[in-house]
Amino acid sequence: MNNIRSITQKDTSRRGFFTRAAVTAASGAIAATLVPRTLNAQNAVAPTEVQVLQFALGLEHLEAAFYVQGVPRYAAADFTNAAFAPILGSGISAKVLDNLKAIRDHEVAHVAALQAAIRGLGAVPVAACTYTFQYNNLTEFLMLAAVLENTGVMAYDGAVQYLTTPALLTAGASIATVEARHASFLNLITEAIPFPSAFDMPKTVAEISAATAPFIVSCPAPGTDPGAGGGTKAVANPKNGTTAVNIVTLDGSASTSADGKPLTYSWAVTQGIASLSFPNVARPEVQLQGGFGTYEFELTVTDSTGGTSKDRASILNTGR
Amino acid sequence: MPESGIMPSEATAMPGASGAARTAVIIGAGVLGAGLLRGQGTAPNDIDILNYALTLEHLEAAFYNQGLRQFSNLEIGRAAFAQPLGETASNELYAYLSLIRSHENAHVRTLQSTLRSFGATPVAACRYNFDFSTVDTFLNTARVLENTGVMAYNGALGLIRSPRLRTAAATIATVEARHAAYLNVLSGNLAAPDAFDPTKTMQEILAIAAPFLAACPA
Repeated sequence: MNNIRSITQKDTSRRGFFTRAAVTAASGAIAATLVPRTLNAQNAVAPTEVQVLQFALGLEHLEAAFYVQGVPRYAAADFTNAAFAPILGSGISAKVLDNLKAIRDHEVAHVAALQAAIRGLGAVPVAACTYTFQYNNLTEFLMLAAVLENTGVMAYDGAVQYLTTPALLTAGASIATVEARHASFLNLITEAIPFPSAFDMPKTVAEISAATAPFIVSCPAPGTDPGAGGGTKAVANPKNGTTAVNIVTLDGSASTSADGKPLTYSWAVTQGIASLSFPNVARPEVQLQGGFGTYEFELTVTDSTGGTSKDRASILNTGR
Repeated sequence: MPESGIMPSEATAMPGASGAARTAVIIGAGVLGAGLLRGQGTAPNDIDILNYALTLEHLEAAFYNQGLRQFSNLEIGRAAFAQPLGETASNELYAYLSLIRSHENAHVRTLQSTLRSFGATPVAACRYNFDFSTVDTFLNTARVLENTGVMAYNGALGLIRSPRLRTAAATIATVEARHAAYLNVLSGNLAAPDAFDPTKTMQEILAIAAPFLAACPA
C-alpha cells in the first residue's frame, strides 16, 4: 500500500493540466454506472462524422509534427544518459528511442488514414498548421509528448460517441487505444502512473481545442488539401520513359483533387505522331505511330469546382 | 481506413488458443446465454455486449485477484521479468499490478451496475484455470490478457448502439490499452506494436478465453 500511496503522491505533484485532470477524473470515475457525465455539456449540436474526423486529423497533424520535428534531435546517448535510465533500468531505457520512432510513425500513419477517410466522405482534409513546441531537453520533450498523448486519449474517448458508421467507429477505437498505449509508455518514462484511472476521461471538442491552442501558431485557410500539395494537381507518368514497343499506357492516376471528388482527365499529344484511343481516362493506351523518337503528352485534370492543373509525360521510343 | 492496419498479431501468442475454437464457442454460449451468439447475421444488442465485456472483466479481475494473492511483492521483484528493471521500476511493479487489479475489479462493478440499471442480469463469474507456476508465466499471461482485452473492446465498439455506452466502452478500452502497453514494455516489446490496434470478433475472443474457463454457472 505504501507503494501505491507514493505513486499517487508523485502523480498529483506532476506538472501539467492534463494529468491532473485525469487524476481528478480517477477519483470520480468509479461512478455508479458507465454513463459519463461530462459529455454534451458544452456541445449543444452534435458534430457530424466528417467534423469528428477533421478534429481527429487536426490532433494527429499536431502530434505527427511534434515527433517528426523532435525525435531526430536526440541521439542514442541522450537516452542512456537520461534521467529515466537508472529508474527504468537498461531493459526499458534501451528501447525508448525505438518506442519513440514507432510512436512517430504511428502518428504519421494516423494522419494518412484520416486524410483518406475524409476524402472518402467527399470532404477536403484539414491541412497541418504551423506549431510551436516549447522544450529545451529530452526530459521536457518527453513531458510534452506525455501531455499530447494523454490529450489524444481524452479527445478520442470524447469523440467516439459521434461516430455512427461501424467501420469508422472501429477505426477510431483502434487509434484511440494506440494513443493510450503511447500515453501509458510516456507516463511511465516520465515517472507518472501509466494508467492513473480505471476509466479514462472523455473531453469535449471545445475542451481539447482550448488545450491544444497554445501549440498552434497559424493554420492555412480551410479548403486546401494538404495531401494534394495545396490544391488540384495533375501528375502525368511516365517521365522520360522508354519503350521498345509501339503501344504504351500513360498514367494520370497519381493526380490529386483539392476537394477529394473525382477528377476529369484530358490527354493531348504535344510532340510526335501518336494516337490516343480514350483521351479522357486516367490511364489511356497510346499508339506511337512515328517510330523512333521522343513523344510528349500533356495531361489536364479538372476538379469539381472547375479548377485545373497540367502536367507532362514523355516517352522515348527506342523501337522502329 | 487502411485495412492493413487492422492486423491480428497477438492471438498466436495466446497459450492454448489454437484448436479450441469450436469448444470455446460452445462454452462461450454457455457463459453468455443464448443472446450473444444467437447465430450469424443477428447483431448482438447493447446488453449482450455489456455482458460480453463483463465476462472478460470477470476473467481479468479473477486473474489478478488470484495472482497477487499467490505472489508477494518480494517474489515479483525477484522474477526474471523484473531483473532488467531499475530499482524504482522494480519496486513499482507490484504496486502497478495492484493498480491494474483494482481497475479490473472497478470495471466489473461498473458493468454489473450498468446492466442492472437497464434491468438486465449481469453474467456471473466462472471458475478459472490460470497457470501461476511462476511469476513470469503470471506476467506473460497478464500481457496476453490485456492485449486481448484491447482487441475485444475495439472489435465490439462498432456494435454498440447507445452513444453514451460507446463513450463508456472507449474509456475502458483505452485503460486496457494502457495496461497492455505497460506489460509489453516490461517484457521488452514495443508499447504499441501497430499504428492501428487489431480487432477481434466476439467468437474469436471467446475462443481465446476458453482455455481459461474451468466451469461457469448455468
